Amino acid sequence: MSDGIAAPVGLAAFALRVAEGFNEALYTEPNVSSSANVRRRFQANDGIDTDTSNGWVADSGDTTPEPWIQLDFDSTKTIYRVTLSDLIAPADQVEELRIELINDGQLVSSLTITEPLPNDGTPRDIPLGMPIQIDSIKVILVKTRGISGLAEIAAYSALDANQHKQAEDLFNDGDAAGWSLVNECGSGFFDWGVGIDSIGVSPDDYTPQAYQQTGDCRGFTEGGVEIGTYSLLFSVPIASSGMDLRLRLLEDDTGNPADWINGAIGVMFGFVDNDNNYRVDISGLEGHRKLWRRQGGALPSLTPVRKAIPSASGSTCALFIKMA
Amino acid sequence: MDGEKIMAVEDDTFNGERIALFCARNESCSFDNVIILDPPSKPIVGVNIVDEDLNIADSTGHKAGEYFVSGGGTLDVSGVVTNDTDIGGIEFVVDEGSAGEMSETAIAAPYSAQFNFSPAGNHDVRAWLLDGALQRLPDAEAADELPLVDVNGIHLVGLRDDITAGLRDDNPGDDISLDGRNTGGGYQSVLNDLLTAGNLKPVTVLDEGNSGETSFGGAARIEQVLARTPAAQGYLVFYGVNDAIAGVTKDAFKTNMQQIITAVRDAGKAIFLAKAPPDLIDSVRDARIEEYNAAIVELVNNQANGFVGYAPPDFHAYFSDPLNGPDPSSVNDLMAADNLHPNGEGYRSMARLWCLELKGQLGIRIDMACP
Repeated sequence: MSDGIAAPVGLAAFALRVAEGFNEALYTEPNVSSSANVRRRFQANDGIDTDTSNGWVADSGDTTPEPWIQLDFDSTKTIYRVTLSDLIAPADQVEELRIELINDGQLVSSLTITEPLPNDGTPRDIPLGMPIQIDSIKVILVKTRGISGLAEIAAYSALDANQHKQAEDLFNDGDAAGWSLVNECGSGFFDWGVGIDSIGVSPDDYTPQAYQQTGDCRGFTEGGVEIGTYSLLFSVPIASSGMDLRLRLLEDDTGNPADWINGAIGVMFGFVDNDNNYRVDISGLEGHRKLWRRQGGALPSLTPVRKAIPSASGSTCALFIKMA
Repeated sequence: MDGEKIMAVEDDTFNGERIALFCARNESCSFDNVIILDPPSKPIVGVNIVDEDLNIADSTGHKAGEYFVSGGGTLDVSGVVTNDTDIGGIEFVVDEGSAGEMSETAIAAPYSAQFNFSPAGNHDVRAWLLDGALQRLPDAEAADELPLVDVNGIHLVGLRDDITAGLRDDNPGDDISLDGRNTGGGYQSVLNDLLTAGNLKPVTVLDEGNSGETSFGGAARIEQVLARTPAAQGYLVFYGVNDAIAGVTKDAFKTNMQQIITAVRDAGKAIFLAKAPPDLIDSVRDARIEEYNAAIVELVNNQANGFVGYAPPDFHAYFSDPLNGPDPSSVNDLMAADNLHPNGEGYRSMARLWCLELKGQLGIRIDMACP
C-alpha cells in the first residue's frame, strides 16, 4: 500500500456513525510503538477510514514483537463502543489483536480479538459489554500479515437522546469550503488553508490535515481588545436553541522569540456580523482564557480572567462549548 | 477544555447565528474536527465569583474564575445552569470538608450566595445542582469548582505595551507564578511570587499589555480597562519606547499619562508609574524617553495626583548601568537581541524594582524583602 499523504475522501461514513454516538477518538493524542513516518501516527484517529493511503503504519524496521498504538483522551470518558478498521490493502491484515482499556494508568479491561479484521477496511465493532470509564485505549497488534497498522480507531461515548448533529467539518476533504475569511489585522498578514503549516520540532514535525492560519496578523480595538483574523462558517446557521460545539485547537511554537507566537486562538459564536458576536479565546502570551461579547463594535468581556494558563504552544487541546 | 470546565456565564442575547475560528498575534493556529451538536438536555452548572460593585443579574457583569483574588473579604458567588426545568436549586459550598466549611443554597434564579471572610487566605468554592428533593445530582456536569479563590489579597493589573505583554522573554522557567495564577512571559509572574512571599497574602498581577501601544493608546482604552477589571486595586503603568518611536512630544506624553492617572483615581483605584527602560539602539529616541521619564517624575510629584510615599522604579537608569546584569562590561545583557525589549533576566529585574517601590502601598509590607 502507499505510504503517502491522504487523498481527499468523502465524510459520509463518519457522518453515519455520529448518529450512533460521539467518536471521542477524534480528540485524542496518539502514541505508537513506531510509525512509518511522523504523519502516519496521526492517521488512525482522523476520521478517515475509506482511503487506501491513510492510517497508522508501524515502521518496517520496528522490532517490537507486537506493534501498538495508544490513544490518550484529554480526560476520563465513558466509552460504550469501539470500532477498528484494518488498512485497506489486500496483502495487509490484522489477524489477532488485543485492546487494553486504561484509566489513570491502571488497566481496567483487556479484550483479545482472535478473528481477523475485515480485510477491506470495513469497521469491526468491538463489544465492551457495558459502558466503561477510561482515559486511554491501547490497541496491540498481536498477529499481522504484511504491513502492521490500522486505518482507523473509533471510541464512542453516548449522546443525549435528543442530541443531533447540526454540522461538522473534519477538514479531511482537503479544503475549507463553506468558510469565509475576515481581516481585522491592524498590522501583519495572514494565510488560511488546510494543511499549509508544518508543526512540531524536527524530526517529529509534520503537517496536519487541519484548518490552519499562518502569519503575524494582529491588532487591537480602541478599547485595547485584541483582534486579528477569523474564518466564518457562513453556510451553517446554528440552532437558536443552542449548540454543543466541539473542536481541537493546536498551537505551535517555533521557538523563535522574534516570531509572533503564543497569541490568541479561539472560537467566535453567536456571530451576527463583525460588530456583534461572542468570542472565547486562549492566549499563552498573556496567560488567559477570556470570553468576550461584542455589541455594536465594542468588545466588553463577560469573563475577564477565568484562569491563568501556561502557553499552549506545541500542544493541543479539545474545546467544547455547550450552551442552551 | 481538555475535560476541564473553564467558564460559565449567563447571557440572554444569544440566538444561534454562525460560528468562526479566531486567531491573532499567533503565526501557527490549527483547528480540526469541528463538530456542532444540539445542546445536551442534561443540566450543566457553572460557578463564578462576581466582582465587586456589579449587579449579579446583569448579563454584562464581570465574572471571574477559579484563580481569582479579591482585595476585600466578601465573595459574591453566582451559579449558571443550562436547563433548570427539573432543578431544585444550587448548593454553594466553601471549603467543603474542612473545619471552616460554609454553605448556602439558592432555590431559584438568579442563583447566588454571599460569603464573608476575615483573614487573607485560599478558598475552594463549589456549586452542586440539586434535584427537587434538594439532593445533589450525581452527574459530573452537575457540579463545578473554583479551587483557588482568595480574599483580602492584592489584585494588580499591568498596563502598557509589548513589554508588559512579555515579548522576547527568553526564560520560560519563571513564566508561571508559584500559585499558578499568573502565566505568560514578562515581569508579572515573578512580581506575584515576590509580593506573595513578602506579604503572606494571595496576589495576582494581570496582564493588560498590548504590543506596539503608545501612551495615546493607553489613554484611549483606560476607561475600558477599568470597566473590565473591577476587582483590581492598583495599576502598574509605564510607556515610553513606542512613544519615542512615534515621535510623541513630552507634553503630549504627559497629557496622556495624566488622563490615565485621572481615570484610575476617579475609579477609586491606585496607580503606580515607572520610568521606561532605554532604547539602546537609537540615541535620539532614548533622549525622548528620558524626557518622558522626567514627565513621570513631574506627575508623581504633583500632589493633586495622589502619589504618597511613592517613587517610580527607574528602569531606564537600571538598564543603562552596565554593572547591573550578569555581564558588568555590557549594558545589553538585560535586553533581548533587539535592544528594545528586556530578556528573561531583564524582566526579573523589572519585577524586583517594582517590588521595591511598592513597599508601603496598598497595605504591602514596608519591610518586605525583594530579593
